[in-house]
Amino acid sequence: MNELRDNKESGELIQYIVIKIDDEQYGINIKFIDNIVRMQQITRVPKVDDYLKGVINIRGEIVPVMSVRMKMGLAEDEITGKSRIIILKTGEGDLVGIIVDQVNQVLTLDSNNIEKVRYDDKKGKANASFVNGVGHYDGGLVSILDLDAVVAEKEVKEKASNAG
Amino acid sequence: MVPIESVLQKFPRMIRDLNKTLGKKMELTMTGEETEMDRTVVDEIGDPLMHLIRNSADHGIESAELRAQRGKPDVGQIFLHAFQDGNSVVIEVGDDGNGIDAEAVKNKAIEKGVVTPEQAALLTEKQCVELLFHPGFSTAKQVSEISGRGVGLDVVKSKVESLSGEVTVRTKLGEGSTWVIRLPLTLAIIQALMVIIGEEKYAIPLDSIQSIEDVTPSDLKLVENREVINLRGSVTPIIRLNEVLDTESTKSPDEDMVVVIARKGDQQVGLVIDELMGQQEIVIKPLGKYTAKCKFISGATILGDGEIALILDTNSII
Repeated sequence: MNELRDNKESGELIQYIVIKIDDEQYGINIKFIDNIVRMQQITRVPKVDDYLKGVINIRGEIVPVMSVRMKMGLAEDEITGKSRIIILKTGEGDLVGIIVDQVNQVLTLDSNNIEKVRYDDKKGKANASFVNGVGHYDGGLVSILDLDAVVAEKEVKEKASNAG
Repeated sequence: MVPIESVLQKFPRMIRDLNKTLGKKMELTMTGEETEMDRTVVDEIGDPLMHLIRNSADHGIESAELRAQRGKPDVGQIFLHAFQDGNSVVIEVGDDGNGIDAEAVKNKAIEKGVVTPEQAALLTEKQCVELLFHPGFSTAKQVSEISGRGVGLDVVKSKVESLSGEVTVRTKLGEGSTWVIRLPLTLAIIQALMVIIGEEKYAIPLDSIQSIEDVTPSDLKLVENREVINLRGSVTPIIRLNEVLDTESTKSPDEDMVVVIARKGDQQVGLVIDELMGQQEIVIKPLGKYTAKCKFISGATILGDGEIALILDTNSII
């Protein structure tokens, strides 16, 4: 992993929202975040992939909500008072919500302090493919979520029972 | 939301054909094919647009001689621009042809009895041009195959209005005209029956519903292993919506069932629901790309209290 500090020259400061999923901390680049809302009534949509928990109403717009935990192959979400839905803006301008266990802080990271990682064919944990970097900050590490992978439509493990 | 492209793609071909039939030289330019609109609107807007383009080709673009006289390039330009403007989508269809002769329209309107000469005298030029939208109006001196049968712009107008839009025209005599269709981005206010299935609320579009029946479980018969009821002489299959939608019914099997009789063409089926909430006007909102996979759901709507109800697509359930 030591060859991967490839953008020394830029040294750009990027703000991340640090969230907790399971026991791990993840950072989400703030520019992709539209909104963070408290857990609310999610309207189930039948016959869609399990990780899609349903839709919610964000300012009059219907926004799908997905469970990152289920996408990562972790245990199903346990909704607590700290659970939040992070509303992300995807590249095409659509909104999509992801459920996280907790929102911890806003972190400003120098891009020099982010190591690009690609697990690819490493032995890999189930969630390895959802991370595209690791950020260092005083006293801690934070995995940078690869949002494209998180909101990608195709499921990691094939589901046969989705014929509708 | 779907791009308007699917509707537009047949127009270049149509213009090439019209070039031949009308013996005029014309060219169609289109922009904004990627502009997205509600699917219901896109499905409906094709005919009005085709009508306007044919109009431009037939009445708008002048013959080659006249164009030469007026010093215009010999190839007539017809254009279609689609773009989003705030909360609406605007589609402009126009040409660099004749323009609309307000006087001719006025005289024709008097002749047809659409307005009296006294009324006509008071009309502004703009109002004269708008007379074109009157039912049964056609200024073409000759009825041709392409346009001018009097089932014309009023149909365009009523179609656009049925989609909650409006159509206006800008014209300059001798220089061309532009028809401007303005449609709301999220259209689709429909009448729906709100029902409860399991613990969830759903909307069923009213226009697909024939009646609502109370059925006692003893009326259920089995035909080829499917549940049917005999509804006033016609055998009607029964679909339990809670099974289709993977949810638990809140009713016990020996209770009377509320059955919504829906039709698709000449078939009818009974959809079993748990409870009726009532009729309501709802605004259809698209579900977005992740959740749109469920073919039984055509969209969603937001109820008065902010809650979301999904809209059932009875056609795909039947």
